[in-house]
Amino acid sequence: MDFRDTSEETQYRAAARKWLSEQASRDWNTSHITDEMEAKYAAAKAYQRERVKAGYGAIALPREFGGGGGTPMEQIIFRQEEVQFNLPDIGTTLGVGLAMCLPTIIHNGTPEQRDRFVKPGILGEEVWCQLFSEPTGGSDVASARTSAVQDSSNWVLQGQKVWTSGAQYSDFGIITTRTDPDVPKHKGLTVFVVDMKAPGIEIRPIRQMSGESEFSEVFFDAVRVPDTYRLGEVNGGWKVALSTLMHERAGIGGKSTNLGWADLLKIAEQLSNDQHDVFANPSHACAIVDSWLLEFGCDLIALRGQTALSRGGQPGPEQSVTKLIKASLLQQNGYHGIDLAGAAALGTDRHDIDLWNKVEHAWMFGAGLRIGGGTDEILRNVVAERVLGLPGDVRLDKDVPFRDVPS
Amino acid sequence: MNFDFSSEQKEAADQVGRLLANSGSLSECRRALDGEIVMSALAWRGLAEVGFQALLIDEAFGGFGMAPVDICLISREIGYSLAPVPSLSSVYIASAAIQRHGDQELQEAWLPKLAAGEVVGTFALPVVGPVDGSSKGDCNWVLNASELAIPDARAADLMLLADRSGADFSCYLIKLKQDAVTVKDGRSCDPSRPLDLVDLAGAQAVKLDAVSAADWQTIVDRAAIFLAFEQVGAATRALEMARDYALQRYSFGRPIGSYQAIKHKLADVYALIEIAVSHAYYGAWALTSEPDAVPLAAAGARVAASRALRLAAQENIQVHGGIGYTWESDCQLFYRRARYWNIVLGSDAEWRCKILDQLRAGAGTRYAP
Ligand SMILES: Cc1cc2nc3c(=O)[nH]c(=O)nc-3n(C[C@H](O)[C@H](O)[C@H](O)COP(=O)(O)OP(=O)(O)OC[C@H]3O[C@@H](n4cnc5c(N)ncnc54)[C@H](O)[C@@H]3O)c2cc1C
Repeated sequence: MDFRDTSEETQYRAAARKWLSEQASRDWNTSHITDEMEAKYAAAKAYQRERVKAGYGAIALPREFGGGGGTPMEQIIFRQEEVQFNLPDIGTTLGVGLAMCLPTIIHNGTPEQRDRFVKPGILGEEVWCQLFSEPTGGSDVASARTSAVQDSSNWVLQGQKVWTSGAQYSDFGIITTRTDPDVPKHKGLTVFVVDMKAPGIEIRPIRQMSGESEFSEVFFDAVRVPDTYRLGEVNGGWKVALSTLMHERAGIGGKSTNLGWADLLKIAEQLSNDQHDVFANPSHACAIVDSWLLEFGCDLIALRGQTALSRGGQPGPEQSVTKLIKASLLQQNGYHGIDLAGAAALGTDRHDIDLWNKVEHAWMFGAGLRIGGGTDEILRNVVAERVLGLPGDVRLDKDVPFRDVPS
Repeated sequence: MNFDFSSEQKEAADQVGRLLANSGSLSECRRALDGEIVMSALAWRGLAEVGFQALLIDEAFGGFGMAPVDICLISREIGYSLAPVPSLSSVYIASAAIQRHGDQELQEAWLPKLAAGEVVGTFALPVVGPVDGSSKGDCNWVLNASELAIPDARAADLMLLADRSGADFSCYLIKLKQDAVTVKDGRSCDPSRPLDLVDLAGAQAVKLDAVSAADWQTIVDRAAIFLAFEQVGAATRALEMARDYALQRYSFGRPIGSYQAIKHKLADVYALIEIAVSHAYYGAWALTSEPDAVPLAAAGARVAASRALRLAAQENIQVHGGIGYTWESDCQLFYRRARYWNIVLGSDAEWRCKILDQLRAGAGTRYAP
């Protein structure tokens, strides 16, 4: 039992660290939370080009498609090192493509599709988004209503997607469509690659409650998509969609940069002085302790997963709880940061607290994280059914033709 | 990255698990509840046959001289079985204290018998009342005290008494089978893990001069990590019991396990167990590799494990409905044990303070992998 790298891992880490420190000494735009999204994307693309040159662009994707041909463990090591540097934000810009869409194409696409899309995607020349959720359903991924009707060698898409992260900055998307409404919902779905610049697509950014617009609603009016953009079989889209979701939930991670216990501790220290010891208040003390127990517990769970990967095996079912725990924890941390600040937290600027931006972000984004990428409730269902072996929910729509399902 | 136990450690634990599965631990717990036994001699003998009590004792004294990390998964199996045995009192604390701090004479006198499981050792919970001692030369003392709270005293042959009641810290070893010692049932919240009351009326004791307050705390920290493995083992068993019942019990024409209120409850229990398992693993790592990390790791393991077991035990009752609240149901065994273990090494509140102190001192980042 030890946390040391193998000798190959040590070498890999040292090389990554050296490369990262060189990159970090350059003059990048590294803002994560910003209104200037164009600049943020431009910086991410430029940085991604450097990563690709050095073999860090998509470490675990196969080399034949322009990936690094490395192991998942190397990907994790790189990420662990990368978060320690102040560098452009790839995660919220190119992340959907690198982590979800491109792997989906590699696993489900034709050779031509792989040739066409994977390399430019990895290079960051083309930005990707995921178009699954619709106004009538996000958790119920198989309930997509956006229709696709075949017209010789094309398909014609009609309908609406929503909550599409980064749609307004994307070149391509992966979309779930209804191709047969006369069969039960899972059997009538088809997945396509869609060109986000195609005629008939209208993208309207949605203002989130935080004031930013990271996601959009996307309208499809007679949008023509070539059959060569179809991923998988006609009506075989459920399998493809599942593989995208698996990649979404497989993030066995490096540490996040969100507000955590160490930040709360720092804030409490900053606010303590000779007259006033914040730690003497049991409620604040408790909040910090609870936050550490869960966050460090999740870090340790991730280390168990990394152990399996490092040995060439598969991570265990315990990995499925970390997103569930961390999302609520982020929201709670936000509240506790605010509580630490006291009455002045009624305003949104606390220049006396260095970490205040992180507090504000946690308070807002914690709420979103509990919904995006699988809601708390859906993740609990997944644990109960796949890990504990409890029965699936009663599904009234399972054996009914999709057209007869109420919404 | 190797944050896992070795295959030898896992195999050894599996062997113990199979042994305990055959020793009817839950019915042994029930016999303890009914006042028939104070510990399972059957399970204790079985454990001695596979060398559990001897694992951490030096070869010179009849032990196997293994590393602390070698016992952790076995502890988890003991917890999973809920076997009513004095592993905490005798193995994790009494044997460890004598092994680490006893002089040659004490070690020769006690360790071989402790290793063989022939005698049981125990310890006093932090003493509230005064211990009145007078020296009789060398290390020999005579002690007076009343109503000391001692786990397993009726089963034990010796006990260690860490006395903080005076100005100085003192640690004594006392034979329990002497006329000046009286032991009575302290009516434990979990009779399968007794808490007894001991009076010392001029009892002979040996003072262990080599043990400082910090040494004693280290022994307790290490024990807390082993106990955390027992706690997560028991929590896993309680969760499985709830899951099995949820699959088999029908309500409104469906298994209750198909209702989300039940599914989500059990998913939350699972999540807290995995958090606790991971903290316990970290404790095992600290024991082996980083002694300075032990205070935080032990407190984390203990608080996380207590919390997971408390939730698992209480929600197991809830999932069982009315039958879960009966004397006949095994649910109460986990509920009682959760409470006992929660407190026996000090309350949650005390250990949470230790976590905060350690975090403020920088241990949270200094030893984090
Ligand atoms: C920040 C953010 C980014 C996102 N990015 C994307 C993206 O890039 N692409 C994309 O396609 N989508 C994206 N989403 C959408 C997200 O996937 C959905 O919002 C989510 O799946 C929930 O769907 P919904 O909003 O329709 O809510 P609903 O599914 O209607 O859920 C409403 C409530 O009902 C609960 N519920 C629903 N079904 C069940 C059930 N079976 N059992 C128990 N409870 C249930 C949910 O948990 C929730 O609490 C994003 C969302 C957020 C917040």
